[in-house]
Amino acid sequence: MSADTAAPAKLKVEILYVGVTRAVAYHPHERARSLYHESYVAFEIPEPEREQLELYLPDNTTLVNPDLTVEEAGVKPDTTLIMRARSGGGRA
Amino acid sequence: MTLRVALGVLETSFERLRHCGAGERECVVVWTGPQAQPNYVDGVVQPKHTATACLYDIDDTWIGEFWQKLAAEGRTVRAQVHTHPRDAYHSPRDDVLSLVHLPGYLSLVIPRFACGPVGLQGSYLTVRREQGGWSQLNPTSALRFER
Repeated sequence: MSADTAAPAKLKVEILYVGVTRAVAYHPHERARSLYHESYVAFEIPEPEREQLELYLPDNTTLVNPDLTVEEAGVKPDTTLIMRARSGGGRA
Repeated sequence: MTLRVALGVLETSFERLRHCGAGERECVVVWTGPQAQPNYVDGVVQPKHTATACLYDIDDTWIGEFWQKLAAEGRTVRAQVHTHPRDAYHSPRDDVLSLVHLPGYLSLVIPRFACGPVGLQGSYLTVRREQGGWSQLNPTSALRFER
């Protein structure tokens, strides 16, 4: 394959969940939604539970917007994103 | 599955649930253990939370900070324990808003704001299933307390 037609190289980010980190590869111009999917797969999150979990930038407050590209969402390669519920609680 | 619980974890949990909940609010703690020792817990952590007599909410940014602390210590979270004012069961909100969404994660509910005797009497235990959702377990079979 020539350099002109080569697929863009994938970048890597770490995902942190429950104290465990897993590496996930991504293309900066793909939708962040696919990064969400790869993160769920990396941690073997059952499908019905996935909508409760979101990705946050390393500042732990900025949501990775799944509708933007990964780059537009502010994700930088070789950083650690935090996967967590948007809220936790119980009863009522 | 059986979760091995280190000496003192249940007692410490009751103590914190009673002290924080004061017999009038729900309360929550989580059980942690070394990543290298599956199915074992030897730590009790109280999340930053707010609560009333009928619900509790965990601070969402605390969750991310907790993940970072666990990672730094090579630990993980394996179960959560929370109180109800009367009977122990899992409400729909308990199902949806649990701290962890991994198969095998346990949720133990203690009745009467944990003001009864330290132990599993009247408690409710459930586990996250591989396919999602929860399955009730017998607490006295699924939890093995070290003496």
